[in-house]
Amino acid sequence: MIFMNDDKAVILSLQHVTKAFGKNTVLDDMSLDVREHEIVVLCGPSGGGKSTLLRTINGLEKINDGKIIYRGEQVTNKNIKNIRKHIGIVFQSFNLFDNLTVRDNLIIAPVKVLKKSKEEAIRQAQEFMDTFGISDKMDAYPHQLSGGQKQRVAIVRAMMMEPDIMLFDEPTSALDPEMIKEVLDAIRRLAQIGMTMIIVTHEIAFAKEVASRMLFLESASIRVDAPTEEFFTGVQDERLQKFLSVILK
Amino acid sequence: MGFNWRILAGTRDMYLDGLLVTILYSIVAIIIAVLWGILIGSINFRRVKGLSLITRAYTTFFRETPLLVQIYFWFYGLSRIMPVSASVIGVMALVFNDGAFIAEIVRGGLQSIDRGQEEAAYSLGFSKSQTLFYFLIPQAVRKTQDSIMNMVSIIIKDTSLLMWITITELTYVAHRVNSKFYQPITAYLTAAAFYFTLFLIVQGIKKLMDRRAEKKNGLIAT
Repeated sequence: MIFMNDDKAVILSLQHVTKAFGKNTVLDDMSLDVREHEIVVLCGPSGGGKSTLLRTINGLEKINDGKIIYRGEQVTNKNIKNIRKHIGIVFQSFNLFDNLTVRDNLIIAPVKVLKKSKEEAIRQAQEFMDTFGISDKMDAYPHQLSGGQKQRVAIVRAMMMEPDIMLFDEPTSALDPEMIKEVLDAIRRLAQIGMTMIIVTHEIAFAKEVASRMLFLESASIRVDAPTEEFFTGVQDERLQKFLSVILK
Repeated sequence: MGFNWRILAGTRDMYLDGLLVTILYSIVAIIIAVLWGILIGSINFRRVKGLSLITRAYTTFFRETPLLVQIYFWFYGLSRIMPVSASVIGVMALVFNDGAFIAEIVRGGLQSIDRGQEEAAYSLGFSKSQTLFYFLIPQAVRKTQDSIMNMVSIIIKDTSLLMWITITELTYVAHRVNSKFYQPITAYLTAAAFYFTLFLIVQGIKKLMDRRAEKKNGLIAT
């Protein structure tokens, strides 16, 4: 397990980020630094702002106040398109392109956005698909896949961009129990190769295993931010204890 | 009265010429109207500043006024300002009118697509227009394929109005045959039979497209 290490470069920095939908504040002055090879897991009750936080990093939600800095560069409307190429995101509902085969889902962004050659992209896609045990599904359409297969394809699709950091927005919440494991195994693989990740999940046992750092979000703020071991044993926070006692049951 | 086969034998070549003109205008109008409808539907969907205001006004106006009035408007109005042939005006009138209906169909299709598709595209670094082109429009067209094919049938029937601006298509031929022989049943029923045949061909194409779409969209097991 990799612990927070101040020497490592900060990839992503959220500074006093505030986001409101109308009068409803969902992110209230949140600050967070993510360093290379860190795996940060966000947990907490629904409505705590976990998903919104992830989505702001990718520019899918605009922030009302504060700054998001990616590798020293402040994220703006102008550079967001470019920065997105380096930030992979995996959604709860997969969001594979329904009109394309798995192969085309995987290669379209590398070919059209990164201007890679088609042959190179296909070769790379095949390699990833082998690693994740779904190489026989290249010609299938998304609707022909199980939920677990869809999510693994979605992970590969994001990885095809050779991202710097991967964001997971409740990647297993829409899955049947027997499919959760295959997706978690895929994420474990990314952990092994040192991928920097921010994961929103309710799978606390999994979080405990892979996370280098855990954040507890509640009522639009980061209530606890601690290295994993300390998070589960050493933090004196009434709300966190209550949340853990419910979720660990 | 009744159906007169003898007249038919004598006017066969006229009818075939008319049919050919109808098919030609239909094909050209269908291709341009579908592309035009996709373009306008996409602009309406995206709410492009300023532009969408114009395209929305256009869609409403051209859907809610009669096609024949529009044809006359272009034929007598536009030809005063610039020299345009009747055939260009004919195609143009069909495209503007039927294209407006297709635009609304396409816009509805685009709106029915899950927002996650767009978000996934943006998160991979695609621009708004790339997202429309690669993901949203193909999905919208497939979703609305049946309604668009209905418009294809309508466009074929709409070409009959072009007889009023000197285009010698199928209905025009029927009209001439009738005024020559005073045999309205023969003259018009023959034309109707040709239109109906075209309709059956469109239905056949539609079936083939449905079968392909089912394979891709999983409406039936493959």
